Amino acid sequence: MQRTSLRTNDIKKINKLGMLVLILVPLIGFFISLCLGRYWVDPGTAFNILMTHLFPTDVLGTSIEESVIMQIRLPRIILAMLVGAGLAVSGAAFQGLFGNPLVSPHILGVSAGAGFGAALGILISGKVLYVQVLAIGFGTLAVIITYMISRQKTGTPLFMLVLSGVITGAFFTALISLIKYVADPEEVLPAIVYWLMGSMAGASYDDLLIGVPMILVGIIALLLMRWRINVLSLNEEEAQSLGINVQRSRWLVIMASTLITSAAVSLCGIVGWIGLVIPHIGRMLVGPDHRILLPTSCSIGAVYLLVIDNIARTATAAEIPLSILTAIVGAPFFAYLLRKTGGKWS
Amino acid sequence: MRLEVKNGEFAYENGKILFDKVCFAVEKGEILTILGPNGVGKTTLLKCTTSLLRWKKGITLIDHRPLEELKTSDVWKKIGYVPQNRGTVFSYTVLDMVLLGRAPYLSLLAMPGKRDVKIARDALETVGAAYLEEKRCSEISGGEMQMVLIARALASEPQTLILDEPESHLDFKNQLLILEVLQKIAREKEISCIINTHFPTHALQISDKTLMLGKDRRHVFGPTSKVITEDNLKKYFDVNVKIVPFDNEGTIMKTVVPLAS
Repeated sequence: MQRTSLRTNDIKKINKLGMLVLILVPLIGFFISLCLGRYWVDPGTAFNILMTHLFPTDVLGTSIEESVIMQIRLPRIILAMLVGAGLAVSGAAFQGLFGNPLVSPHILGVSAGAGFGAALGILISGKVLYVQVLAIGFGTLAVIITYMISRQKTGTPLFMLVLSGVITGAFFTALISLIKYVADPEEVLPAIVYWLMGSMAGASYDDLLIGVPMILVGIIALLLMRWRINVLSLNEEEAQSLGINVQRSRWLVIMASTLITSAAVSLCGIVGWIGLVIPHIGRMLVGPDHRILLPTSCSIGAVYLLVIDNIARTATAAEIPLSILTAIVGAPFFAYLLRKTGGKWS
Repeated sequence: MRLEVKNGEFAYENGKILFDKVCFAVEKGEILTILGPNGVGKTTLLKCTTSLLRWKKGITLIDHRPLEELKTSDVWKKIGYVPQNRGTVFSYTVLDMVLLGRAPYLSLLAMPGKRDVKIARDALETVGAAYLEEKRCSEISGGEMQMVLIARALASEPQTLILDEPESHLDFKNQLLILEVLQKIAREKEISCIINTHFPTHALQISDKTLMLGKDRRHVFGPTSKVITEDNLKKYFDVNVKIVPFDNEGTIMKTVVPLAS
C-alpha cells in the first residue's frame, strides 16, 4: 500500500513540474521575442515597457523602443503563439478523433476553403477585413460541404469524412489556382502567392480583432473536451458502447477545430506542418493521453511557431514565408527524432 | 437485472434475413453462452441486443422495460460490452484504458476524478490485472489485453456483461483464466454474462443457459445441458461429436470430442 501511494505522489510531483515547464517556456519565449529583432531592445527596458502598459501608473513618453515593442512586436508575437498553439492542439485533437496519427487539421478541407476565401478577398479588394471575413466564411463552408457529402442516415463513418474532406480540399485548391490564373500577374498574383505561404508581417491589433477570439474559443473548447477525445479515439462501436453520443461529440470537436484553423488561415495564411508534427513531439514527451497531450501540444505549438516567426523576421531583411520555414527547420528536427525513437511513442 | 430478447430479427439492407424469432433471457448472475458456426450472426445478435445495431423486429427488455425507453448513457451503465480485441492506435496506459469505462457517468467536459480512478483500479483487481496498471497497452500480451477490456467494461459498474468471443485468439492457459474470471464475475459480483464462443466445452463448463444459432435461421435456447447435446452439435455444426463425462476429484465434468464431419 505504502509503495503505491509513494508512487502516485511521485507522479503528481512530476506532473506539477511538467505543468510548470509547459507554462514557463512559452512565457520565457514570449519575453525573449519582445527583445529580439533588427532593433535590439535590452530585456530590462522591454520588461519596464511591458509593465507600464500592464499597470499604467504614470504616463511615459513614446520612445522608439516603446512603439517597436507595443505596436509592432507584441501583436505579432501574440498572433504567432496563438496560431501555433491553435494549430497544434487541433492537430492533436483530430489525430485522436480520427484514431490516426497521420491526420492534420487541414484534413476536412478547411484550409483550402479558407485559402480560397482569402485569395478571393485579395483579388476583389485587398482590404484586410474582406480577406479575413471571406477566409473564415469559405473555411467554414468547406467543412459544411464535407459534412454534407459524408452524411448518411445512421451517422458519418470516419473514412467517409476523410474522403469527403479530400474531395472538398481538392475542389477548393483548384479554385485557388483559378484565382491565381485570372489574377493580375504584376501585383495581385504575388500578393496571393506570398500570402498563401503564410506570414505574420504587419500584424496589428485591429487585424487580430476577429481571428484571435475565435482561436481562443476553439482552443478552450478542445481543452475542455480533452478526456472525451480519449473515448473518441477508440473505434466507433467501442466509443458508442461507452455510453457517449459519438456523432455529437465528434462534430463538436470538428467545429472547435474549424474555428481555429479557419481563423488561423484568415490571419496569416496556410501554415503547414505544425498541426501534423507537434502532436507527435507531444506524444514523445508525455504519451498519448489527450488529457495531458492537448495542453502540451498547445505549449509546444506556441513556442515552435514563435521561434519560426522570430527566424522569419530576423534572419534576412526580406521576410521568409512561414510555410517554408516550418518545414525547413522542422523536417530535419523531426527526422532526427524519428530516427532516434523509431516512432515508438504513439 | 434481467435481460430479455423477444422475437429478435435482423435483416441486411437487401432484405435477406440473418435470423428471426430469437428469444432468450438471462437472470441476475447467470451465464448465457451463444454458440454457432461462422457467419450465422452471433456478433450481430450481440450488437442488436445492446442497441449498437437496430433490430428489424423484436425488442430487448431490461427488467421488463424496453431498452429504447432508457437514456443511452443509462443503457451503458447497465450493460458492459467487451468487443473483440482489435488493438488500439494509441497505446494508453492500462489504467487510462480502464478509466474510459467511466465514460457513461462523465459529461462532455468532465474529467475522471479520484473516485473513478478507484473504481477502475478495483475493476483491474477483479480481473487479476492490477499489476499491469502502469504498462502501456502496446506492451502487454493478447490475454492481458482481453483482461484489460473486461476491466474497462466492469468499470462502468454494469449489471450485465456482454462479451464477443473473449477467449478466441488466446492460448490454452489464457482461455482458462478468462473462463475463471467470467465465472467469478457472475458468481461473486452477480453480474450476468452473455458470451459468444466457438468452444462447446467452454459453454458446458461455465454457462447456465445456451443459445445455439445455425444456418437457415435455426436456433434453440435452453439450459446448457439440454442444448449442448450430441444431436444438436451434429445438427448445427455438422460435426459428429461425443460428449464425454469424466470425474475430476469428485465433480463430474463434461468435454466435447469431435469425431469426424
